[in-house]
Amino acid sequence: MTLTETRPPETPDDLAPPPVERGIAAVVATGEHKRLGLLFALGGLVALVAACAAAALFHLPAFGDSADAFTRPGSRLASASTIFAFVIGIPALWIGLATYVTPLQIGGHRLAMPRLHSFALWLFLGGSILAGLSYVIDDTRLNSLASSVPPAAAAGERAADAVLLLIAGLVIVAVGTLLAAANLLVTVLNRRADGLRLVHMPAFSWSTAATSLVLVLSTPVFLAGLVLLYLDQRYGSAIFASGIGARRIWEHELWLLGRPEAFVFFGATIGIYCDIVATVLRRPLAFHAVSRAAAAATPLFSLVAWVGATSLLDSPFPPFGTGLAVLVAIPAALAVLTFLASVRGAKARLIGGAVPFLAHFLIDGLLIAVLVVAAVSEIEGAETGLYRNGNVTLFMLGQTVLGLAAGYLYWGPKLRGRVPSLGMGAATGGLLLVGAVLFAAPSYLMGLEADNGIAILGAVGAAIFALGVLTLLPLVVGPAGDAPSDPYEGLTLEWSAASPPVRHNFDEVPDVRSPYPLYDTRSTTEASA
Amino acid sequence: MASSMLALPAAGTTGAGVEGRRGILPLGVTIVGAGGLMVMGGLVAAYLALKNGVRGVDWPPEDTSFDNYTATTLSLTVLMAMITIEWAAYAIRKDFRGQALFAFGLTAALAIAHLNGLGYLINGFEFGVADSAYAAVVHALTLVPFLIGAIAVGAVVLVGLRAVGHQLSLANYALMRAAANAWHIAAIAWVIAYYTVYITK
Amino acid sequence: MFNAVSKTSFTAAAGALVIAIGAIVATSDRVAFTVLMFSAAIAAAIGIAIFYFAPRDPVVPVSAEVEAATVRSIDVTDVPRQSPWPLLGAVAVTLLGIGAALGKGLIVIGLIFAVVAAFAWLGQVWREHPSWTQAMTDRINDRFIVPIGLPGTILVLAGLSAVSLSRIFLAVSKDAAPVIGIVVAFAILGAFYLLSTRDTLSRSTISALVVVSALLIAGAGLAGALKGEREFHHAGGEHSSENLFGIRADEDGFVPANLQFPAESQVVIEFHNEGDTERAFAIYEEKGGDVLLEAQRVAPGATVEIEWSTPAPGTYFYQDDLNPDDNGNVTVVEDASEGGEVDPGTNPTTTSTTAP
Repeated sequence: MTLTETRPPETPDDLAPPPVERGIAAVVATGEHKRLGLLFALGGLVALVAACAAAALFHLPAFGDSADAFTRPGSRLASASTIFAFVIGIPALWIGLATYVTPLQIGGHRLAMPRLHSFALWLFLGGSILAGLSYVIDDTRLNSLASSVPPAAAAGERAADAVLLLIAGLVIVAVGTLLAAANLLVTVLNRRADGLRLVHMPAFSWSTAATSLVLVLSTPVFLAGLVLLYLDQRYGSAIFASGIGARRIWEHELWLLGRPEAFVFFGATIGIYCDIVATVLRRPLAFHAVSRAAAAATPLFSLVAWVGATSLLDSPFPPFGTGLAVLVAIPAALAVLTFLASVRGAKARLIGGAVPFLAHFLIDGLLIAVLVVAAVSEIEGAETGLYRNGNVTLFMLGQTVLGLAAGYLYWGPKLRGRVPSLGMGAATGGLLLVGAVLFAAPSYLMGLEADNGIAILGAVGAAIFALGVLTLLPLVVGPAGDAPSDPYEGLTLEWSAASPPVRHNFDEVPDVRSPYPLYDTRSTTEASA
Repeated sequence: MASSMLALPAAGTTGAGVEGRRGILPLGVTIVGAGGLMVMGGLVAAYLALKNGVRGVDWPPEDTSFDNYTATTLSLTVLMAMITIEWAAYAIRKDFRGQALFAFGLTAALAIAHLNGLGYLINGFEFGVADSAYAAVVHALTLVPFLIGAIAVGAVVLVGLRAVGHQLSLANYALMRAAANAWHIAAIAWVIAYYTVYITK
Repeated sequence: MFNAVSKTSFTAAAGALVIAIGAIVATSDRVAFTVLMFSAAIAAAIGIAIFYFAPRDPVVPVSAEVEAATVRSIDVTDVPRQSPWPLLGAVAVTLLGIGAALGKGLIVIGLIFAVVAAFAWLGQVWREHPSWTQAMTDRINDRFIVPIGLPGTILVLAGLSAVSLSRIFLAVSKDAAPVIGIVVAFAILGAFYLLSTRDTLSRSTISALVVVSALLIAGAGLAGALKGEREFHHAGGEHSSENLFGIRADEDGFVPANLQFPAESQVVIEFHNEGDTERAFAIYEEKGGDVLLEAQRVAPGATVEIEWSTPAPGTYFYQDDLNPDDNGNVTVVEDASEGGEVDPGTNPTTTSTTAP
């Protein structure tokens, strides 16, 4: 058989669109950003619910002393809840939302490297399975990374298989996080619609870029810490028993609160809120350059957490370890000021996604009240780690998940073509708010030397929080609905796509000459009419 | 907004669209590789913290011998491979296929030799992983560049195979650039480890 | 082009540098200083990479045609093609992770998967290149896939299934194993029957089914391997106490030091290794003499049942071939002695061997 050796020149225009993915292939082999985003979101929701279930069990008296639920390093349930919430669940939820929404906001029709993102998704799944297995196969106490005290490793002794499996699982999840973050950053930079300038990107896309940059910088440091932890536990090298230097390594590279990831996802929610508020107010934010800068800056400021872990600079503002770490709150506060400045004269309309946003501010108020009480009243227990851990629960878990939930509700029409009602938003926001408060309550109260029996409140709170997370499930799974493409009269580019969007997102991308192209189009149309 | 009219290029011909797509792979590899270098940063931080935290104790421990010859040879090898991969990139740009294949082969050979030598170096440490904190962190500092190097070697070999198959040219030069960047990052990772363990100690 | 994101990256680098210097001056915290300095350098490097590889943010004079444009068309052919190889790659990485935690064998399997995934991914990208023609695909199929690749893949899948199922059968109870075998067999039969009744079946569906089934079986096999084998007793029922003899090895040597067996009988020696090192239990005519029982290797913590046909009455010699100083006498007598049960200890791995 003679093979024709002439090779045709590259003619991308001659290529037919690839066939539509169907069946199992649509899940396991997909490279489409919308499916990948939904899969990440589903994984994040499952992980969060599992974390809440573990936390609820841990607070029940039958499962042991829960007086130091967050600080005790060895309990299997406590470890599972913190790992599945903060290392797996919340990052997966953010990645899912960013994967789905960011290409729509920048007028793109795909991710920059779809197969890399698919690889990251399955790494997340594989690592999560290993981490979950580690909690099932052995009763060995597993460190939750939530304590600032490193685990002891007997010199020359190999730790149990469960511990090593957990470390391996966390390494794989961290690699998946790094790859997904890098891909999102490249997507924002290189997959924008023709003519869309970076300064015209919406706030959420800006916060995606900044959060991705921080994750690219901080996740590898976590990986380095895990490598050292692996050597420590696998071979018994007793690295973390080697004095003050080793303690610093633990605090900065492994301790949950000592790493930028503790704050970066909170920072990511500022971008979500900027877009929500603009839509609620039906107009561009006043000083929108400031709000977009704040949306980018808040994640970037989370890098100061590396300094924040140093106990020599104890901060009066927990969960911030030092005064420097309070810097994270400054750009967030600036964003809030732009929200307030935009309210004047606006004809606001409440939408489902706005309710968790409002709940977020209730928690802000609660946190401030708690801090003031602690500072002013000189109650003895208010200085304890347990009391401060209540702040950690409200801030890191409550506010971050509320922000992500607001995002899922806000962009709900784009996800599965169903417009979340105000009632659904209220249910989600209310359950998450009440759940977070009740979950944190035992830490506050036991810090003030209340009876250990109060821990049952934590179990109730965790269960309610899990219900709140589950209310997001219909937005992520199930048959696609047929919502209008722009149910909210949105201002940004994603609202020009169908709900849910077609395979290539846009048949045509509107001309983008500002951060609010649909608002421009509407204003121009109204003016000419 | 009427106040800031910008002339935006037509879609698909010039401007951000095509130009953006071309830069995806090299930028992506560079960013992920930067993450790999941050892993080295975390390990170097651990090394320095442990070194500083053991005042009064020898660091490195007494009687630790250093195979400076092998380590220096490895450093020179990675630097040579950096040059040959850039030669391959140059040849692809200029459509010199023969030179490109030769340079790829040379780079692969040097890179594999580097990995082999690094494996020999790690196996030849006189201390076990569990002997001390120093031993553990030095093992980590040498194992991570090994892993990064292995991934980079894989990238170079796979892209080299595409060159063999007439699928690498100026039209998809981004692929070549990505493979070259991957090797450069692996080389930098080793140089960081070499400098920390063998130079500054 | 120094676009807004690259400037943001440089700003982050500058900020990290300032905070790093502040950290080392204020706290002498070397970890924070080093990590932040690296962050500054890496953020700056990312900014430079963005400068080189990210597109411009163009600002050029307005032209009438462009100003009139209100929409931009997109390339609908530029959508990602499906690919299962990222999943396989992730499986490989997961296996490598399990191997790093549990044992080298899985690392080897993970590496094999990784190589397969890498080349399969390369193959797909290769076929997607515009220079690739259908004729080339046909030639590859005719010369490689059909004669070598397909049978090889089937062999690998069959081997994987056999090994995985064997791990499952070894892990579950004696009564559950045949039930599971029957269920699996009927499940496979039923699945293939259902497939055969369909008029059309896409290649991707078959591939996906094969991959998912392989993953399920392999996962179950892995779980069985992690659980470990159930305790075995030799076919034919429990050993009678007359035939069962216990010996254990610990750091100090063997207990009992001297063994006694009935002459010219089939006995079972239950050897339990309670030490940290591997043992190789062997019996000889005499010290340095001919071998009567080939060395039986026993891993630390494992319990092995060794069948041995005892010789004529007499005094013989046993030793640990790996540690010859650990040895003792074997006395074979006419009368059978009582067998002794030895406490198997915690987490034993029990296998049966028959002496040659």
